[in-house]
Amino acid sequence: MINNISITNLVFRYPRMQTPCLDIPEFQAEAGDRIFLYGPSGSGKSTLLGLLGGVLSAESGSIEILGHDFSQLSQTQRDRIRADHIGFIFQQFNLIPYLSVIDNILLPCRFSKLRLSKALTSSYSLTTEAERLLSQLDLNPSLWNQPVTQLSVGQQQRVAAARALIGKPEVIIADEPTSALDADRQAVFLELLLHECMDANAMLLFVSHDRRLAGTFNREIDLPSINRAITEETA
Amino acid sequence: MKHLLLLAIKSAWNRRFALSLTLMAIVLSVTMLLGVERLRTQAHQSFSHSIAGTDLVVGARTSQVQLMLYAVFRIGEATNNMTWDSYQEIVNNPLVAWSIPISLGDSHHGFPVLGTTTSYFKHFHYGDAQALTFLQGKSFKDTFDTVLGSEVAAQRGYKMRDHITLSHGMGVLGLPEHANKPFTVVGILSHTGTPVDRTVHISLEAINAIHLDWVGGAPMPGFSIPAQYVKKFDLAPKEITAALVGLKNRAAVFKVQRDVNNYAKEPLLGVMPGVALEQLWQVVNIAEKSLMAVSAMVVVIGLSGLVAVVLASLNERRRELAILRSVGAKPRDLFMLLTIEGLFVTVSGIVFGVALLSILTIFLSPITQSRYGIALQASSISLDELKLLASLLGVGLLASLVPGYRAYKLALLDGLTPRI
Repeated sequence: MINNISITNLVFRYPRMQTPCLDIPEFQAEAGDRIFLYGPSGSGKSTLLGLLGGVLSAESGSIEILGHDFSQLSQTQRDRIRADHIGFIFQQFNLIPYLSVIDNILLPCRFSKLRLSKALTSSYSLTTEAERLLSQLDLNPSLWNQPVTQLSVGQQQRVAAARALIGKPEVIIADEPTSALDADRQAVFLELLLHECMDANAMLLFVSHDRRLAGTFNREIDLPSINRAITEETA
Repeated sequence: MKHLLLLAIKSAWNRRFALSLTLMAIVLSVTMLLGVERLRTQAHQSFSHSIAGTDLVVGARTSQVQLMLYAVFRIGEATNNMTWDSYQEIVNNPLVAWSIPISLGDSHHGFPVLGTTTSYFKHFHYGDAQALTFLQGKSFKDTFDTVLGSEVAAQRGYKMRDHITLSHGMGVLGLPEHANKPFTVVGILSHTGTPVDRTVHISLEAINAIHLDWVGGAPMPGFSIPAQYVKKFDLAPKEITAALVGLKNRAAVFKVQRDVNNYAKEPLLGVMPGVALEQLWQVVNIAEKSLMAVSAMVVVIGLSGLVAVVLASLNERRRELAILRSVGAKPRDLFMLLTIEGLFVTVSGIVFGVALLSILTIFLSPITQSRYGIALQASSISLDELKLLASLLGVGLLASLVPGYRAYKLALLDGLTPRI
């Protein structure tokens, strides 16, 4: 069986740096995994996300997304894998300010034919699919036609989640998506996100520095513990 | 590609207030560049269209350009006349096929009055050797008959058999009137697009007749000769302003010109219209070149402004670029996005600039027509103008590559997490 994410002996070093900032001997994630990745600042979290997204390339070792080995692919090919198979949700300011809610959600379908066609298999039009996701994420329909800049941070994050989920990518990577929300909203958002990932059978990699959120996930991983670069440095 | 275009346009629209000022600079520069080019070509066209088939223009000695300007284009005034005797002597040369005497100096509501003979309607040609044709009526026969150019009739609303009076001197207001000698409209010429359209034609005799009771440019006080008595006087012309001469054989033009220039009894000048026009262009050329240079500089300023604005906005947009990357945009896509955005502003500038020029042309055309004899037309874009616009677009594209390249670099540098 092909893993959704498979990392072997990954080493990454920024240009002009003496020591690597990421050195992960092994990491696997399968479909159905809901992984809480604990990543305090300085643990190489952003770098790992860049590598998983294919915008950075490793010095040695390999990263495979659904069996595609990034070390064997060109930048453009990696961009394509990211577009087709990975949905990202960031901390905040996830939306393009000059696009409508629906247009923001549909962005991945503009860059990936695969996700476009997948979105069209679940609904008869792209807009209905976007709207279906929005209602499942419990965003009030009165907000759908608002400029995105008028939405609260929590509402914006739901739109971002809908964008990550549209076209059913196999991997959802969420980078501190709840850090700008208060505790109640964090819980609600997390529940919605987990439910939707389950529904879409997507693997979720949830990165946070807040261990209190870890309870609802079925795997919990400490980035510092799997990253030898950090352990060696701190040891 | 289509969605990038849409994205770029939406992004530009989102930044419309910042971009509108640089857009304005580009619009003005396009208008200016195209306007100078259009004025140049239409002036050339208009001037060379005004006369055809005439081998020599003869008048009292002055500069070549000057003689052309007043004799053919009715711009400026003659300082000296030539005598009728000299005119007769020159045109009696066996090499001369035809000639048109011209007497200028009076006007009618700002339109020049031209005294001539019926030879004018037969031999004057314009454009591609087209002859004058009558829209209505025919050539003048009686002393107080007049033939109007098409625009005179149209602007003043004159019809056949209408009566008009002429003013002494050129100008619009405050001129003494030849009020006691009204003229009857007996003919209206078809439109030519030349100064003929703005001319009131009367016979040479009529020029003498209206000045019979005048002394030193004013009506003689207490003395008036009624129109019905003028025929008792000798109305044969004594002087004319200039003459248009056609030769039997064009090859003789240098000989006849030399004869005119060496005429012993009075200082005369003969010019070949083509040569005089060429001289005129040489004078005007310097002005044209500098206007073009200034316009080109305005273009550069406008486009630099565009680059500056888009580049300045780019730093605030690093988050936006990272989001686009996360949803699958390649660095190349972001390069395209920013380049298209700049190009979009340039194209809008060109479109608005062309529109502005057309509007200006419509409003300014009557002024340039009456003051400078240049018929500006809100014409479709000529090939030369198209080349100009294409090069402008090219420079716009080059300028837009700068923010495009910067976005590309930022995309590679920032990846998914911009360092702001």
